[in-house]
Order: sequence, then structure tokens, then C-alpha cells
Amino acid sequence: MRLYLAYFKIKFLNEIQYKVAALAGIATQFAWGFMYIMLFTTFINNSDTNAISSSQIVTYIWLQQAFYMLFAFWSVDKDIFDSISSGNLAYELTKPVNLYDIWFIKTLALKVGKTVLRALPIFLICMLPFLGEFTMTAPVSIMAAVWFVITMFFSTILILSYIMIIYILTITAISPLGVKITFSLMGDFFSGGLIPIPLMPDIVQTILKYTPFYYIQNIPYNIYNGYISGNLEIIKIVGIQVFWIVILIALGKLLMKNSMKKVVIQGG
Amino acid sequence: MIELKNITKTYRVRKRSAGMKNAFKTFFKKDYEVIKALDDISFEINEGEMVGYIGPNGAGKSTTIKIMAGILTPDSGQANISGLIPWKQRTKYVKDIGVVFGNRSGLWWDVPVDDSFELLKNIYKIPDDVYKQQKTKLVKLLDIGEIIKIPTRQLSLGQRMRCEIASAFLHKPKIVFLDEPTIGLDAVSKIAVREFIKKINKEDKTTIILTTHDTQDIEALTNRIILIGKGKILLDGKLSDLKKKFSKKYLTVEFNGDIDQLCDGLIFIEKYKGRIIIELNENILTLAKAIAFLTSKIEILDLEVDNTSVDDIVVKLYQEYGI
Repeated sequence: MRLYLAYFKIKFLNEIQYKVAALAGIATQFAWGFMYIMLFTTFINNSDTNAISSSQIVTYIWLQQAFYMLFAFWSVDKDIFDSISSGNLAYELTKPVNLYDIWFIKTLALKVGKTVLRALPIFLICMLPFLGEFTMTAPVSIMAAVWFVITMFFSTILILSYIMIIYILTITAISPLGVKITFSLMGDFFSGGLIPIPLMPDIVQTILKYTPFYYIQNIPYNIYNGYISGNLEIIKIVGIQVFWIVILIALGKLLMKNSMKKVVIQGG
Repeated sequence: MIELKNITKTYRVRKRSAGMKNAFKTFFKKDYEVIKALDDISFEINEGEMVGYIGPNGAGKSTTIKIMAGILTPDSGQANISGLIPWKQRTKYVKDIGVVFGNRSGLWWDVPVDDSFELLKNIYKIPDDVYKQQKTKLVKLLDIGEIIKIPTRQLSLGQRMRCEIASAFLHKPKIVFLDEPTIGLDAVSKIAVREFIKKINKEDKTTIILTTHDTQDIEALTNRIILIGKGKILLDGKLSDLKKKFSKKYLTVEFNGDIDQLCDGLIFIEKYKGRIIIELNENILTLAKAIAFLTSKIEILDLEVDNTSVDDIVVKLYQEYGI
């Protein structure tokens, strides 16, 4: 455990060095946030849908912008890809550590590090009342706040176990780009990163419920804004989150074991 | 201690000729060539030994190191290092080894070296007091007291290399693999690194396996060398024996007078007016007798004696084995 903490610490400290990047990130997040809100509220106000209200969408978008780095599929540890393509992986293999666990912790630290710098300012500013219809609401109930925190945790673990598979698939590829782009685009779209899942056609929503993507950012944000409610319903969802986590981690570890047998580190 | 038996490793290398046409051909058919990187490698190394593992580029040195370090799985063959099989019991095995790859960096790029050390302490679960003691010792021996406060990315190659080497010894490993540790270093850093390796091998009885192209490294550090070429072990023996086998002395003489005939054991290499270079075969004639002979014939103004360098020995070995 101390080892994981140490890895977390070094990566986290490394990440919060980039303060200018975080500031730029916040600015970008605001720009995208306003744009998305204007786009989606226009849709909602001009249609007869009553699936989700425009104030729920506003809150959803701001939460998404605040925790963008946590749930963006492209926000991964570049160092890991580099170590794979350059062969520096060799060094990690000479350490008495489990590579899967270390990559997991490193990516977690990276994502948390990037998020803490961005989330808080966005949260504070978006709660200000002068934003009018653009204001983010507080959680709909205390219970919703509690479930929000719990599902945020499981969603984070879930996206990490998905990203782990991206890393591992690149071990045997020459360039990580193809695998990375395919898997992160798929993830971003199907997890509601571009269009919130509640605004997708019913049939797509039904299908997505059978994939892990439905249970990542879609869950905590929509609990927070009250779109998903009911303790029993949420407990069921948490159960499915845990199910997918177990499946993806088991798959990742299995793939890791297989590709380690085939690993070739050439030169030097 | 280290025992390798009949280790074989092949790589599959993709091959195609240059050009558009050939590039498109690979969509339908890919050509592979199987390269035998290691072909039936066996050797034993005892505890506390320092062994130089040499050979030309592409001979299989790094592959052997990587197999011994548990990174690669060989196609066939057995290994027993401290009672473990490196590639099968990797996490357990690597606790007691240290590895330095001269052409890669194992330190964290953006944080001070000391933070990397701290992480290693956690990785190897080194107790506080042992860590402190060993770090103090390494910092002193390698003279990196100030350097370890600087982020790795801002270090010069020589500084970084010394830190890399220190990082491989922090957990007091029993075996250390050094893959070209002096590559690209200047004379001062090279000597510092050599002194360090020598000292730690002597004091801590650390087994050290070293690959290098730097013949001075070999001369300064190792007694035993293993020569590998085209994936096979060609020679495994003492450096001093090799020296004896290949060693010849060369005399460069500047003189007044004339000399046309030499006695047995001396051969002209070059001959100018007033200056000759002679090869001396010490099995026939001793140096003292050779000088006495020359003095009797000519008036010597200046005399220089050269020994074959390890460089020459290595070149001769490569020639002899056709690699």
C-alpha cells in the first residue's frame, strides 16, 4: 500500500506542476461549457421532450467540464505509451512491482492531479447566481450528494480499468496511435462525452445500458442533477458498475500476462 | 550463483525492400526473417565475480542481459540465478538485482533525482536506516550530493549516468547488470564510474556483469571476459591469458648508423632512414636481449616500447572468430 501511495504522490506532484496548462484548461472548459449549454438547451426548449430538463442539462454540462480530465478517455498517461514504444518499459520490468497495478495508480494520480486544479474553480464560478440560466444547481438532495460521491468513485475506477486495456493492447503494436484513437473516441462518444446519454435515441440508450460506457460519467452527473433517482435504482446501478470493474480488470490482467510473454525489447 | 544453460532466443524481424511497390506488397504478404539472437548460450558466474561481457554490436549481449534480468523469455534453455528462474518468478527475483541500461533512463524525468530514490526505497521496501546509510555511501562515492536535488531532465549525461548507477545500488542488490554504463561519458565521469564499480564489487561482494564496447572499461574492471558473437559464446576466460596469447611488443627506435639484418625474434614492421619499428616476439627473445642486440649494432637516440592494447586484442579476437 505504501508503494502505491508513493507512486501516487510522485505522479501527483509531477502533475500539479503544470499550472499554466491548468489555467488554459479552465478557460477552454468554460468556452466549451457555454457552447454545449447553448446548443443543448436550444434543442430541449424547442422540442416536446420531457426526458431531461434544461436546468438538469446545464448542471450536467458544468459537472462534465469540471471533471473533464477525470472522464476524458484521451486523458491518459503519455509516459506509459512512451515507455512502451521506446522500450523504457524494460526498466519497469526490472522492479519488483506489478506493472498493471503501477500503471493503474499512475494514471489515477495523473487524472486526479489534473482534475483538482481544474474542478474547484469551475465549481465555484458556475455556482454563482449571476450566470442566470447558466447557473449550476446544488445536488438535488443530500442523498443525491452522497450517491454522487460514491458513484464518482466507482466511475473513476471503471474508466481506469478501461484505459488499462488501451495501454495493454498497445504493448504488441508498433505505434500506440491507432489503438488509442479508436478506443478513446469510442469511449468518449458512448459514455456521453459528446452528447449526454439522456439526449440520445431510446434504442441507443437501451443498448448502452449493456455496455460499461453507460456507467461512467453518465451516472454520477445524472444522480447529482436528479435525472436518475431512487435508492433502489441507484444501488442496482452501483452493482453493475462493480460488475464491469471486475470484468475489465480481470480482462486487463489476463491480457497483460499474455503480452508480457511476447514482449520484445530491441536495441541497446 | 548464476547458471545459464543452452539459452536460445530468436527474434522475428520484418523485412522489405525500399520503395512504394514493395511497401504495398506488404499489405498482402509480409516477409519475416528469423534471427537467432542467442544460440545455445551457457555459462556460470560465481558470487562476487566481475565479468565483462563483450562482443560487437548485435552480438546478443543486451539480449542475454535482458533474459538474466527477467525482462525477456528465452525460446528454450534453463537459467538458475540465486535459485530462481528470472522470467518465471520475475517479481520475486528482481528484488535482489540492479540493472542499468546505459542508453535508457530509469529515473523520473520531471522530479528531482532524490524523489526517484525515495520511490525506489518504497519499491524495494528498504528500511529507513539501511536506505539512509546506503544513500549516503553512494552519494559520497559517486559525488552526486548536489546533483540529486535537480530534476533529471536538467542533468548532463554524465551526471544522469552517475545517478542512474546509484539508483541501481540503493537496495544493495546481490547481482548488478550494467549494460554499457560508460556510454557517452567523458574521461572524468568514466573513471569515477569505474572506481565506484570496483569499490562496490570489492566491499559488498556484489556480482557484476558488465557489457561494454569500451576496452578501457574491460581492462580497468574485469578479470574474466566472455566474448559473444552472432549469438554464440566464442571465448570465456581470463583477460590476462588473452593478453599473453595476443600480446606483442613493438619497439620504435630512432638511431644513428645502419642496420639491415635483425636477429631471431625481431621483425621489421617499418623501416626509414634513422627510424625503425620492430616487432618483438618475447617467446624467442627477451626485451633486455633485444635492446642489447640493437645497442651493439647502432647508436640508439630514442627508444619506445608499445604493448598491444586491449583494443587490439578485441579486434584480433573478432578477426579470429570471423565476427
